[in-house]
Amino acid sequence: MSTPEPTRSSASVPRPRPDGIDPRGPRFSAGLTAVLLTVVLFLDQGTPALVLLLVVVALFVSGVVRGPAGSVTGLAFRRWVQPRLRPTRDREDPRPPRFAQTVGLVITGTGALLALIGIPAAIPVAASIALVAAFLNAAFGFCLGCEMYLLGRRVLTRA
Amino acid sequence: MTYALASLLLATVIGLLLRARDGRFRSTTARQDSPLATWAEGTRATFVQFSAESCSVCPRSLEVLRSVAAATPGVEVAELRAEEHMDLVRLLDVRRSPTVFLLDAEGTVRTRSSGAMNRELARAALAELDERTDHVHA
Repeated sequence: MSTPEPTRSSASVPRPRPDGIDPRGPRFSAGLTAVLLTVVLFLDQGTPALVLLLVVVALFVSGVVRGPAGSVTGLAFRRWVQPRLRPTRDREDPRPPRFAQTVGLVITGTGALLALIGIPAAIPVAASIALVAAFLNAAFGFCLGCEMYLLGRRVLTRA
Repeated sequence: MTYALASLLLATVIGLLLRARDGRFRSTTARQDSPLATWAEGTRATFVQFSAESCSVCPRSLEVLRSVAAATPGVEVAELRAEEHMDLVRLLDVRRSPTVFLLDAEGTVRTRSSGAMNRELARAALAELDERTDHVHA
């Protein structure tokens, strides 16, 4: 390997950062998603389960398209939850939670698609995986999708 | 029902394991080359943090390292964007972000940690580095 060039781009040039958001917003969204996914799992494989899973897919779509602040759950947080919480000056970059929403969309979207083409067993499988990720985010503040990002990139860009 | 309970249980176990592991420095296997030596600016030690764009805890982690470094003479902090240094990510087997490497004055990687960083762990890692360095020189 050649010696790395002494570029200090990362240290000297501040990355352009979008306006920060209240970090409790994405955690509230994750909690809500975890509750919905738990209900999906209780409904098992029938049409009600698929309908509710599609609701979760729709929530993820809004999160990916509009970002964590403008998503349905993000707006619900701003309107009904945030006013009841203590104000915080803590701010978070909205890009990581948006990435997490994309991961959630891929998982639940795949499950819903498979169910629609006649594999209903995909509903509990997809809902379980998404529930693990959502619960980790809500309860521990861990973003599993984000943690996997580097590993995924390493696999995808293997030369 | 079983699926729901199993998922929640699994998530809790993963969460507790990650929490126990996060930010702890462990020693690395000695390597002949020092791939991060370019960033070793500290006369005593340098923290090199690999951050990713998709990482929500990275900015806070970097702040912790900077404040510890500011209070400790001879200690500097460098941040690398993992996406721009995929060769180093592979070479050093970086899997999570943030991953922090602690370099000694010569730029050799002494210990590393991954996950959210806190002040106590960063200070402890510096103290341990000094201890080992003294031992070597004694």
